[in-house]
Amino acid sequence: MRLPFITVVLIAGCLLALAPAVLANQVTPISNKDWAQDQLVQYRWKADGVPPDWMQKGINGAAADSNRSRGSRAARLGYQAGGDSWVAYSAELPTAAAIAYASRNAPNSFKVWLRSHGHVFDWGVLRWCQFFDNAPNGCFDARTAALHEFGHVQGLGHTSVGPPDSIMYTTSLQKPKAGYNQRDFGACDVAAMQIRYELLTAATPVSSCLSLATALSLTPSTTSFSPGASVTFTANLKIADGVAHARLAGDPLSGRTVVLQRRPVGGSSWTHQGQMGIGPADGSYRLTVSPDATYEWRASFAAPANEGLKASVSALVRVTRQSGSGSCMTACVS
Amino acid sequence: MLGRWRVISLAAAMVMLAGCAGLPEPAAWPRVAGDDVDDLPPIARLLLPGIAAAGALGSYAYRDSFSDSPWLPATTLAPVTVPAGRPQLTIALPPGSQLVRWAAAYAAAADPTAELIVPLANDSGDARERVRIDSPPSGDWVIQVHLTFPEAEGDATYYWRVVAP
Repeated sequence: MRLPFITVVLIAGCLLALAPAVLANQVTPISNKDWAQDQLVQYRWKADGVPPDWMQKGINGAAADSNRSRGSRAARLGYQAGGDSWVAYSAELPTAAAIAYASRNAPNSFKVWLRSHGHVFDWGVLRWCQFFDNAPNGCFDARTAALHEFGHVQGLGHTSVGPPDSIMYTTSLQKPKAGYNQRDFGACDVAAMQIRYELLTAATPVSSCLSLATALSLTPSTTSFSPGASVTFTANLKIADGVAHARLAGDPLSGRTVVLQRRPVGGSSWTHQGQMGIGPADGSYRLTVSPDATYEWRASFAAPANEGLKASVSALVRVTRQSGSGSCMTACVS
Repeated sequence: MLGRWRVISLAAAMVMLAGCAGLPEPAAWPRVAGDDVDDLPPIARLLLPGIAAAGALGSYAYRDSFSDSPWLPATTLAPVTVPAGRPQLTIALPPGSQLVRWAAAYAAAADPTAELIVPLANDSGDARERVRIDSPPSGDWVIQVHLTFPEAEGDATYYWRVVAP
């Protein structure tokens, strides 16, 4: 039976809708050679392949896009006459079918080629959108192509998942396809860079393309207190030590929502005591309370909707209210 | 480098033409020029009884070299006719090469920029030399297969024009 093509498309679309969500870290990592964290890597124009002004703007814009959206301590890129790396605009690329090409020799230098506007391929004529005042359909966005090449420079391969989740899609997209002019790395690109280079800061969101376990600890300033006294609780939130990505394991997580909860000793339901504030170190949270009785306490971190982090709770900590006799004067941590 | 690419393309076309001629499946692995080039990914073949068609190489990321291409249209690919009945297609790497993840999709041959891409299948798991995918329905198609190699060696995308009766 011969199915109409649109029927095939609709069936495939339905199957895709039922498929599991995109798995974490689908972007292929390339080699084990990395730049240093936050290394400034500067490029020049290749002497015999200086891009025209409109292309230079696209390339420099892409470097800024890379720096802004890397979400990690991946290399920082920038133009500098005399830089060790270079970008060329050329009719001749190392492979005949390519509109763009890159090679890297981290941590020393990289090379990027962008094919000349008007080059004739066996599939048609290459047109860069930035060449035009009103870009026609079928053109390629030079700034997006350069950002894709800079993704390679950072050590990323390709993905079969397209924009917006990844700018490292294995097919170069032409206007007006969705994502043909994306200006940021996608969540799965950022995930791959976070795995290689760690988070930019402890407060940087973890890519939603990851799914990392977290670990939370809770320490009271005292385990027993006099009536009317206050107790300061300090929580520490981090990426769990056992996650598969060694470079992220144990990294502190700041700026998240951690709440302090209590319950009567041996109780089953938890009462929200309050959201913990910023602590003295990366990943630490602090809240001071004046308990009115002996309670078991814990810190709780709920999985954020916009990050690739799993929920966690701390171990229980018992803090005892002193009375006239029989107080718990030693640590009562369960 | 460009000359070498032409040699690879010519060899690939010859292998595909040999396959389309209905020759029996060769006893030895049919080699093409790209098999021995260090900075190019291995050349995947589409295997059917009597057919071993080398894929046309699109984008790839391999050993710190990266090449980026658009969807390769049917006009740039030699057609491979598959037997009737939607047989399974085998995509194989040369001996000694392996893959750990793959994704296949196709578009109509008359759709040169692949405005409508239909996913065929994808999977990941243990390293292996080949994968099997269902043939697309009756028609003239371009099949795209994206393979990821183990040990962070890279990935490559291959294209075949497949005519299914």
